[in-house]
This record gives sequence, C-alpha cells and structure tokens, in this order.
Amino acid sequence: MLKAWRAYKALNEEQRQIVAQKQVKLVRPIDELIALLEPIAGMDKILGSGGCATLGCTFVGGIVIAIAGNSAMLAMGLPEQVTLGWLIAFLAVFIYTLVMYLKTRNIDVSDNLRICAIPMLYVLRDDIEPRESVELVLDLRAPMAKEKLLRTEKPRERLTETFYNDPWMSAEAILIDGSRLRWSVSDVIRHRSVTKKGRSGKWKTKTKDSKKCTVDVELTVRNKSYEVQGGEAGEKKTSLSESKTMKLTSANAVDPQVVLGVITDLFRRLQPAK
Amino acid sequence: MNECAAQRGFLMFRDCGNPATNECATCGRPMCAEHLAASTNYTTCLDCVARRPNNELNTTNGREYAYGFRHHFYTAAAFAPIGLGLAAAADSFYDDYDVRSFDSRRKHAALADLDDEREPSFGDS
Repeated sequence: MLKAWRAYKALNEEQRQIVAQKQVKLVRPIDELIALLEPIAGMDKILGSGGCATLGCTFVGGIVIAIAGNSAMLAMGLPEQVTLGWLIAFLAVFIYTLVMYLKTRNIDVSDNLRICAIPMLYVLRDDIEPRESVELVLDLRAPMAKEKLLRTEKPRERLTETFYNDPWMSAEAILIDGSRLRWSVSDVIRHRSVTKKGRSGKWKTKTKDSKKCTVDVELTVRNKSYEVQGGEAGEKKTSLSESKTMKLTSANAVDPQVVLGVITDLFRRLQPAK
Repeated sequence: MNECAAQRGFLMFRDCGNPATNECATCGRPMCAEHLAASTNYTTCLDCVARRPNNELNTTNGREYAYGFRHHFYTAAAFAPIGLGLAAAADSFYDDYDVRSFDSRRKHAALADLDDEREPSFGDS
C-alpha cells in the first residue's frame, strides 16, 4: 500500500488530476498519450495486486499478533506497562493501516485502463500517425460505481439483480495510411445477489457478476488505396463499421484481444488497390 | 550501416526506417535500438523474443508486449496485415504472416501521396 502511495506521489500534476477526476478527454499524439497514462496504470497495478492484499494481511496479522501477544504476556505475568505498550503498538499499526486505506481508496482507478486501454495503445502505436492527435475519452471510475447504476430488479424473492452501464472508452485516430479509425467500448454489468438458507440454518449471501461488452468500430479509408467489401462508399472515401457484443462470465476488465479482434475484422474486408 | 530490418505496425506493416545499430543475436538481421528487446540486454530483436515458444505477454515493456501480442494474434486469429513496407514482401522472415501487399509501383505512389496530401483533419466523408 505504501508502494502504491509512493507511486501516486511520483505522478505529475496532470496525472494526479486524471486519477482524481477519473473522467478524461485527452487529445494528443499517441506517444504522449502512452507516456501520460502508463505511470497511472503502473500505480493501479501496484494498488490492485499488492495494495488490498497488504491491507488484509496487515489487519489479520495485526489481530492475530495482538491476541497471541496479549495471551502470552498474561500467562507470563508481565507487568501492566508492558501489556499497555503492546496495546499502544497494536493501535498504532491499526491506525496507520486505516489512514493508508483511506488515502489509497480514492486513487484507485478502473482496471480497464491497465488491462485493456494501455495494452491496446501499445499494440496500435505504430499504426497511428505520430504527428496527428488521438482523441481518447476514458471513464476510469469503478465499473460498479453508484453513478453507473442503471436499474435494480428483483426477479424473485431473495434474488436481486443490479445493472450498471459503463461506457468507459471511446477514441478516434488517424492511421499511418491516412485512414480514420474510431472505436468505443461499453459494458453492461449484472451483479446478482442471492440469499439462501444453508443446511445448518444459517443465511448465506452469494454474489455473481457477468457482463455484456459492446465494441463499436468505424473505419474510413481512401478509395484509391483500398478495395472494400461492403461499406458506405463515398466519392473519395469508404466507411465501414462493425459492432459486436460479447457475453463474459465475470465483471473483470475485457481482454484487449476482444477489441482488437473487432478492429481487425474491418481490416479483413480491405484489399490493397491494384 | 544498413537500415533496421524490422517491420512496424499491427494493422499495417511498414519498414522501420531507422539506421541499424546492431545485429539480432538470434536471426542475424540488422536492427535499430528501438527494435532490440530490453529484456535481452538489447541483443535479440523484438520479433525473435515474440516468437519464443514460452514467451509470455507482459505489459512491463510496451514494445515487447506489442510485438508479442502481434505474433500471438497473427498466428491464433490468422490475421494478415496490410503491407505498406517496401521490404516486407522481400523479407522471408515475415513469410508466416501472409502480408497483404500493394504492388510496389502503387506502394511508392501511395506513400508519396501520404506525404504530399496528409490531411490535418480527415473531414466528413
């Protein structure tokens, strides 16, 4: 957690602003975009992998050590000052963990950035005209943030389904051959919560997430460069579009291969003009 | 010194264009510093690292990820990139990728067109 906080402190003013606002529209060349967003994704990786685990370990470890230490001290009949010192040390660790948790809670950004958006930019970097600006709109709030709540349904007793709408990325770029590529990714997440009575008579709540990921892509190419199968042909340019919706069995960030797969489907319809 | 033999791009293949600074220890092709893998201490090219059977995609290094992804995608999804590179068709190193090339006369013309009439904003089509 401390490492994540240090990574946050290492960000520049603009990057911290992105982390704070979480909804951004960036217009700049591809290399600058990557340089801007890469450290934020790096920080999120530390926070995602080590942060929560560290927090959990500190809490559980702290409680176990406090109980074990107290019992041992009572058994050994140590003076009250030693027991008090022990409790103060335990409290200090508890407060530190709590403060760090409160600090890092607000700097967490959606995993979509590091798992999908940044890898996509890496892959498309050499296809995008380096002198032209890419327009990238990102919503890095948590996919199941209350602002993204779509509706709540109760199909039957003790079953609640909550739906979230998360249109988290859209972009427009001029490619190296002069073509224009637009894409957008939007998720609809279903969070199911079922309450059941177990054999022992205890009530248990189980949750399950799934989502539908919709990828929309539009490509406009020059007629003199390509022969196009289908598409809307203009005098000089032809536009092609493709939309795909995929069902996923968890609310985890989508693999970049899914989005790039839809983009390449459009490129399969192009043939270099002879 | 020769030009770097690497082909840039995922959707479209084109020549790197940078002067080579070294040779790849695996394939022996001339390479610029940008196309040598940092993880191999700049001794092996990104393409050779991507083609290693045990190569795992890792976003720690953006360039290595991109070339690893490219190789994986081309072989798994059978995607043939558009060839803008003048050397792509001649280089047998990329034979497996089935590049869809322009004929060379058109390619020269297309590349010259791009330099001449690069549109600042693509405008309405």
